[in-house]
Amino acid sequence: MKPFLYLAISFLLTVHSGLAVAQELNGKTIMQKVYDRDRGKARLEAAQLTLVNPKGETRLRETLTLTSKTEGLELRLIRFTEPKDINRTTFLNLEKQEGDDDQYLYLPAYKQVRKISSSERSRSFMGTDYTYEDILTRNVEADEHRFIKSEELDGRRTYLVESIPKNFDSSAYGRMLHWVLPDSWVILRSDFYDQRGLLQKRYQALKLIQSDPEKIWVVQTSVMKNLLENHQTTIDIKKLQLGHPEVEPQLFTVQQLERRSYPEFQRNDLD
Amino acid sequence: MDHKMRTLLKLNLGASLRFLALSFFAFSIWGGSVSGGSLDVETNGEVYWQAAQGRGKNQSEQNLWALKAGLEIWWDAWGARLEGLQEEDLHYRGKSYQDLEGVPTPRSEVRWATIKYEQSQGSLELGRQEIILGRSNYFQVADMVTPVDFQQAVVTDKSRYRTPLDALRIRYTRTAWDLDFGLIQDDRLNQYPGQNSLWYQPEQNPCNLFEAAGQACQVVPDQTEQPATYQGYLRLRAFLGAFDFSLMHFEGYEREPSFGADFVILNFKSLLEISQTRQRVPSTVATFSYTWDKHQWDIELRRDFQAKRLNLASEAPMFQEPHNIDYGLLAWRYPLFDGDLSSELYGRYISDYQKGQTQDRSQSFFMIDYSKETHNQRYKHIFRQVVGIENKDGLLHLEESHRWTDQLHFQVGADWIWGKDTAPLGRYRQHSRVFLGMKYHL
Repeated sequence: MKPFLYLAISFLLTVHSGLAVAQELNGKTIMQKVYDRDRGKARLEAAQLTLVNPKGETRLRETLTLTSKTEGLELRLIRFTEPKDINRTTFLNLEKQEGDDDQYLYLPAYKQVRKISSSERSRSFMGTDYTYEDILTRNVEADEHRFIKSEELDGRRTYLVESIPKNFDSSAYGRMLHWVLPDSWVILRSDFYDQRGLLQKRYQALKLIQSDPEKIWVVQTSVMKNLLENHQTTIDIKKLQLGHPEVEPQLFTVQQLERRSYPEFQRNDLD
Repeated sequence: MDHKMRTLLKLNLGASLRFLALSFFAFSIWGGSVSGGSLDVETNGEVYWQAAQGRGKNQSEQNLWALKAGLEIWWDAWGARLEGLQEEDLHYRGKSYQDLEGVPTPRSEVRWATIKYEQSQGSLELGRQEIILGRSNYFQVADMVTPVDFQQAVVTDKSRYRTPLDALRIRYTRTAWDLDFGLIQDDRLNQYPGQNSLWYQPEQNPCNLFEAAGQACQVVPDQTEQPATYQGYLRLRAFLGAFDFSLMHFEGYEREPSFGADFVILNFKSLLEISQTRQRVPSTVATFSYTWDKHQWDIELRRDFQAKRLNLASEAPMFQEPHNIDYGLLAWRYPLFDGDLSSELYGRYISDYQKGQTQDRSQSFFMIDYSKETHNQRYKHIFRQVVGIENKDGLLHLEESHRWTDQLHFQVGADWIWGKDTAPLGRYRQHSRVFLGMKYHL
């Protein structure tokens, strides 16, 4: 009897651990963990964007980004501060419980706010290699996710996940591949294929740091390369403050886009 | 020098002095920030040059050729903002480049001088400012306070020029709705078209209506002074998903002109005299906007309730008519060919000229606008066409701009205007031109 019992227990344990691994490596579960990853509440960051064209010429942009959460939904506001001719151009992204995020753009030259409609989402965001679609908080349910394999990338173990939009009208992409770090749930690299199957863009996280004392992983430097146009945009976060007391959800409204000033840094969590 | 020119010169000189004085003040603050490093002053500006060659004849029957230069500069410090404009003709042949009132373009003005208190739930702003309420690009139905100046939009590159006013504006904002309250004082001079005016339109001139009614003709000369007006509005705006509604009530009052100091901020003494006003002019505006997946639709409706509505100084005279007017605007935006295609259909129904005299007519325009910017924002192509449906007049604007660097931009383009002299757009046809410009961002 005893040997049979041991056999049964070991069989059950094997089945259970196998199920646990399968659940862990489920593509949707991985992407859900990426989505749920703590990015820090009430976040204020200043970044420099470097745009490089095929001739190697560079242009600089500077932004101030505010991020907050209300009822589990992310609110994000990006204001361009440099160069002068686009100073105060401000973008607002409001995540919704269902459907695509609401996106608005305030153009100071017109002193008017424009809503970004869904067909504009494949367009370049202020001349960068990001599109309005890349900036929105993509709902995990919007794509079919498939875990492909574990893979070494730049000497680090990653999970490779394929994501295919459920509705092709909702995205400019036909397929996306994500390399996810299992210890932090940060995306280390993403490849974006257009609807014809051509590899269009590649995103790479170049420098990761962990904030102190919150222990939150932050992608300090990243690059988005447009492989078809040989153009790239590097984002380098210069200043960061997590848990800023003045970054409140009330700031994330269409009416507040015209504001002259936003909260200032009290400290730099990157130091 | 005639009265009109003297008045304008006085205005320009006054504005220049004010702008210079305030600039000096702002520079002092800026200097303080450089030495002390404790003040947060943001400086922006642009210098531009433009050469234009007229296609046809201008008023003096000579070909138009003009080279002009301008400077726009603005500062933000603490909660205050100062913005000014200075523009001069460097050279011209024929007649100086003019707007449609025959006013030469050189001018200087304080465009923005306010103090502002901002909080997460609203703001209060006092001083000279632009108040933008509508969503349309070209025809202004809901923008009743400081609409885009139609003259500038037609004949100069300042397609977004608005005449600012002295005002107190308070906004209370919530996530799903906001309240916007404004008190505006308009002390500037206005002109009402007489028979010698470019704006003179036989069917609109009261003289003709008197004749039609068998009464003696009263010649209406250019009226260059207008009683000061006071206006106030309250707007409620609500956001419901893809819908955006607003309802605004607008009241205006007129009084006899009084003498007093002309500050760039509100003249409180004059505001207290509001009880002595003679005429109340109410108006109600409803706007509705809906973003449907790929398209954005805006509908703006306006109803003026009294026979004589406010003569808003910032509106072009062609829109200043002492009638009851119903306005409607349908605007539509659609991204196309990686560019931005938009169109506006604007109509107005005009009736009840005066008691005992009724004249009904309608006027409508159709505008189509396409702009495309290259991926790296280096080049921008603009195509705009406006057509007057009843009068068969129109405007075609083509422009190509190149961003050489983030600071230095070039532009080249042409305006072609056609139609009869009496038509709203056709009367601008002497302003058809080609132009070449350069702009440097400070």
